[in-house]
Amino acid sequence: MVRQLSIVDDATTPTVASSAPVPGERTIRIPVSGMTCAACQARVQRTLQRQPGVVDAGVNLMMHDATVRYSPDAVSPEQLVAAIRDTGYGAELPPAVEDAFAEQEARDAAQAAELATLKRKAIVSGTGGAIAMVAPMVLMPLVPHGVINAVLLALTILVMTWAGRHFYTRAWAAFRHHSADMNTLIAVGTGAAFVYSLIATVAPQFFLRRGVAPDVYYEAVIVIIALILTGNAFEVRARTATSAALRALAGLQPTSARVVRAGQELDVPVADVRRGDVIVVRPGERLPTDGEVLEGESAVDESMLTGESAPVAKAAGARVIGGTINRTGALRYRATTLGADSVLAQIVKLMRDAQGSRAPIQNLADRISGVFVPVVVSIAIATFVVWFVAGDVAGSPAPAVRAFAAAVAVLIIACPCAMGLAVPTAVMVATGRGAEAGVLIKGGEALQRAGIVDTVVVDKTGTVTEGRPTVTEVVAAPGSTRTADELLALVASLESSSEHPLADAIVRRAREAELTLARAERFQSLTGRGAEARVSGHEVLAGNEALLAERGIDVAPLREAATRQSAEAKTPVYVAIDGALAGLLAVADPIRPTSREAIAALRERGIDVVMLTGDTRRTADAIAREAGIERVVAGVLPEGKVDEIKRLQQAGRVVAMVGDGVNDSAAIAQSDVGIAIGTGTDIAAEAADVVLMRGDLRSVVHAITLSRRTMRTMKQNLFWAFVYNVVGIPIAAGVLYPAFGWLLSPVIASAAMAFSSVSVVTNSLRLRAVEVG
Amino acid sequence: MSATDWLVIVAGLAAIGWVNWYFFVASRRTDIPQATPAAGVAEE
Repeated sequence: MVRQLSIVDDATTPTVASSAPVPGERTIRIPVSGMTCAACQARVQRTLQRQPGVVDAGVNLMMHDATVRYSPDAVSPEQLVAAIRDTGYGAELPPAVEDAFAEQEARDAAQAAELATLKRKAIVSGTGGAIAMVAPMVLMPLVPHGVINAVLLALTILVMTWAGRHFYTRAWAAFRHHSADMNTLIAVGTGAAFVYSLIATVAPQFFLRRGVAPDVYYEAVIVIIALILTGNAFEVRARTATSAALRALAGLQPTSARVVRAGQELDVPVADVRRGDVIVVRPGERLPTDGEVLEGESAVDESMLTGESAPVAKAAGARVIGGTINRTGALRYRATTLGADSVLAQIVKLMRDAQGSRAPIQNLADRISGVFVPVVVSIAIATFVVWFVAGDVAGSPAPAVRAFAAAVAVLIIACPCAMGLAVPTAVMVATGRGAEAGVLIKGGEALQRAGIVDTVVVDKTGTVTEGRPTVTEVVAAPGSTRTADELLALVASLESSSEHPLADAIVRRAREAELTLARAERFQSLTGRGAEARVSGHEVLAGNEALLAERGIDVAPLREAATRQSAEAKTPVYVAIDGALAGLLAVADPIRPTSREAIAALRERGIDVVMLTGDTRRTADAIAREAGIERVVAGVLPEGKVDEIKRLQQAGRVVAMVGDGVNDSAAIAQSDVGIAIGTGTDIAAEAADVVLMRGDLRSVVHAITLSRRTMRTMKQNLFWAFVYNVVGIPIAAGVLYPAFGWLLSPVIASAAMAFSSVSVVTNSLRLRAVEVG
Repeated sequence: MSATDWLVIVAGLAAIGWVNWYFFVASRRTDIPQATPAAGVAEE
């Protein structure tokens, strides 16, 4: 039976994102094996892009996959796989169901196997290289020269055909398709050294007749292969570290769950948990799925998903997330979202897509990698010619030998791998680092854009403020004998029968203060004005000034306090008990405790902050004053928010819009970098480029800081990758020889080449230390 | 310069020309692999 294909939706696949998705097109992610450098990547990408029916194709060297947007009427996934295979690389159809956890495990296993193989080959060939270097010196007096060379020849053939076999097979596959990559350079360099040595071994007279010693380069061939394999092994190990954050996230998923079925608690595999199952978690255990708490109270550690270090209190009705740790009490909860829909699976998938995505800055490296190898081969030939002719004209006895060594050194030192790794490794580490801090950056493009943001537009409600009204003040009327708590308990008892958002704030505050609420009798909601009821034998009335005036109650003793509250963007609620003014409550949507600090931090970084809100000017100004925001646009409808962002963009600003991801989705989509704050539920569906798992504006600062640091790292990596080649190739070609007499041996060149990519990966790994919350 | 030098120069230039022709010019003329649907289909 032909496998079902995993076709992913365009909107969730940032890898190929150069043009808007068109109805009828599909996107597929195909695992590709055998790619070792940017030139391999460019070749597979070019092949895919030239297939009929392919709209766009992106190949990721780090993730070893190709993401292709195609028209299913013109080309099938099987044809795409076959086209990749025909270029000499491995490819297979993706599995039927995309299980982010299983995929990560498979990727880890493949990486571990690759590392083990490379280590084994590097150790064996390194030992062979040591023998090839030492043995001739030790055995020279005892064994005939021809015998030593024959043994070295056998050893070299063994190393080339076993440890280095893939260099030659891949180089040949590339050559057949008019392409060249890192393997081409290694194969041509070591192959030339081998052929030269072979002739010197089987026909030494050929050299002797021309007055040249029949020197062999067997040890160079073996050591070059050993060093490159060692470098590759280090690179794989470092690459494994770059995906540590993703691996840690995938590892959060427990394998079993304790489910209540037919009144019995049963341990079942997490895959067998059904929506609606009641799950029991004890203190210290990890929650197996997302759900809603039915019974129990506990503090849950969500730091692994949100970056918030303080455990979050959970009680009946609270939402919990699978993968988090239950700390203090036992909880019973109903499973809501499972499998690929769960928050954890969505984060893992989002991170995997992000880590595989390309940053626009990579285009330069790609363009150079595409022409790099043929240019290097041309330079190597030119090096040989110049050295040969110059040596011959100067009367050197063996101009070909020196010319040959210089040409081989040029081939071996040139390294397109560092260029190929410069950007993707930085994207991988940075997105992983962000995820650890609850900042989910959806790809390299978003990461790059966030680094150049100069204006941050913030929504007020739920972004700068908490997003839910809270009682901020309880004032007893002059002469009242009731305490603030007694007043609050009576009003909360009244409001417990109301569904008004202000009522919810009052009841919540009373519960937080552990006040006992009484039953409200004869409750009556007075629309737009307040509510009244009989509570514990008292007639309780709560509402605005108009309501109290209507009942003939004078609010003058508290009017000044109420006016002040209004100026502070708070809603005053007058309270009368048994027909007499008893007090005043202020209800407000307070600013988040961290908003002021975050806005100051943004301004310190030279970023303008603008607050957009549909609220009145007075409320908006009060909040902006408190948060330290100078520019406020009040009274705007959602369409108005889009227009405001367009206006800023037309003025040349790079705008990040921070909102709640649902009400602000149009403005988020219009902005250069859309940031959804504190959602934590439907992560993948949001239009935002960055999703903040924590309801904390400081995460915006973290996202921008991380992006700026990442851009710096990418530029450093590209600089060093280019400089390495720009400096290394001329030195290998011998430009310093006339002035200083310096020449680079092919063995030293291979060591430098092998470790150039390691240095790039190591530089990217420094991003793990960026302070982000 | 000797005849050998000239020979090496000409051969070198020809090799450089060929490398660039093969990888940059001929690669554009070559048909990109058009796989048949049967090839590479993963079956279970």
